[in-house]
Amino acid sequence: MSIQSPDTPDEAEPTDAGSDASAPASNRTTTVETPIRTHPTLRPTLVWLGIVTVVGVGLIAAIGAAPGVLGGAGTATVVMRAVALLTGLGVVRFLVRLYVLRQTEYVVDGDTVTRQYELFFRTWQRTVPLSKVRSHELRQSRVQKLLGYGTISLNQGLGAIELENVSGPHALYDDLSTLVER
Amino acid sequence: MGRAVNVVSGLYDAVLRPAALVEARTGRERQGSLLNQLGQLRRLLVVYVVNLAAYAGPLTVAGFGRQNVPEMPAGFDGAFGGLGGPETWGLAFGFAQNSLFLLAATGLTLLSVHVSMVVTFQSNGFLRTAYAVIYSTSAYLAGIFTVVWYLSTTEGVAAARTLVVDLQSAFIYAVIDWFGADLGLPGGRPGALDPGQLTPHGQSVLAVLVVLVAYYLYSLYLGARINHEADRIKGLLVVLAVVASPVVYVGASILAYTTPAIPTL
Repeated sequence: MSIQSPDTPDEAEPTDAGSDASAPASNRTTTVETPIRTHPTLRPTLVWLGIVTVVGVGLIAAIGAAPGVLGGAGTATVVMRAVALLTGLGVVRFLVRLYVLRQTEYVVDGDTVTRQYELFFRTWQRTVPLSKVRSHELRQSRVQKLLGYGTISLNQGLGAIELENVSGPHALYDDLSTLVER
Repeated sequence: MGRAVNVVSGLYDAVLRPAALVEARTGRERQGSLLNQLGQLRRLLVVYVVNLAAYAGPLTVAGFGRQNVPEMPAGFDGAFGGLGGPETWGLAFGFAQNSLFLLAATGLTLLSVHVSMVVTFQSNGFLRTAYAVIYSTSAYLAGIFTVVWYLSTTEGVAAARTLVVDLQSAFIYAVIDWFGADLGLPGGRPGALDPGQLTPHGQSVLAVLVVLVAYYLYSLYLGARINHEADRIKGLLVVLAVVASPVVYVGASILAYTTPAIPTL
């Protein structure tokens, strides 16, 4: 099966399904030690948090230094406040995402794949029995490959479960493939 | 309690996860039969009507849209189980007036987005367009109209209010001039726009307006990319189509006013 490599900055963003990256040679092990417990990596979210903060603050500083570019102090102030609001919302968004990712755990045992996290004293859990897995896919864009993480999807279009921000995803993908095909 | 959680969750998605807000539920599962799709469309319409009522209801109760109410039709008095009457007629008329702009804007957006998806051979069905448009207009467009209403009723933001009105007038006159039509607005041409008179309060309100417009356009872009699996270029085309739609609307209005009526025999 092919491994698609779209550009996807974060979990909710759509992917460009256009890349033709071929699957690397996988070393499928015949025995898989279960349960496998892993947490999503925080690296990409931290990178985005940094980018949003730097770009936002930079834009505000640039507009403040040259308000005449936007037609005067009045318009420049409106734009600076709008950028500040958007930057603040972006920062909050990524901070919340960091918190959720820290609380998230992926568990693969001999029979099921589970994605679970706790938030506000509630537990969200989604489980798919391995016997019900009809398709599985590893997506890793160029940026994700650079940062060493990817997304593993099971049963896309059939009540999918997605394991996002998996660090070193090929190992987990190989283990899952072995368990599914068993 | 469940409803309160849904409202909070909806607000959270609207502010921090617009992609989750506009993603069609059918994107996650198979679309199902025609009956199933009609059921989903019905649920979408319920969502829209509820949000429309949440937007237009308070305005109506506060008295907006209830000026120059036309004469109540004879059949309305005593209708609807005895509820029909002059007061109910006034409320109904006011509600219709206050809903009109949002309804028209939603229809225009729906048309612009879906036509651009169809024309680029990217459409995955009207239902998926409807998801994105109904949720984005319910959240962000209603928010935009609410901020404009706030500007029109609040003290201390006169310069911001005038700026917004003048911007809209300037846009309409730009389209009129482009058509070379001999038309005008009741208030005449606006003077030079003067953002220098804005108060800090007015600047903040305008900043919120700018952010809501950005969210609105971004959510429609996400709707095209997630629900119709469009690439970035086609997603941007959808945004351009929506941005151009007021020009088309004003242009069509100008043509309707200036084209002579077809004489009847």
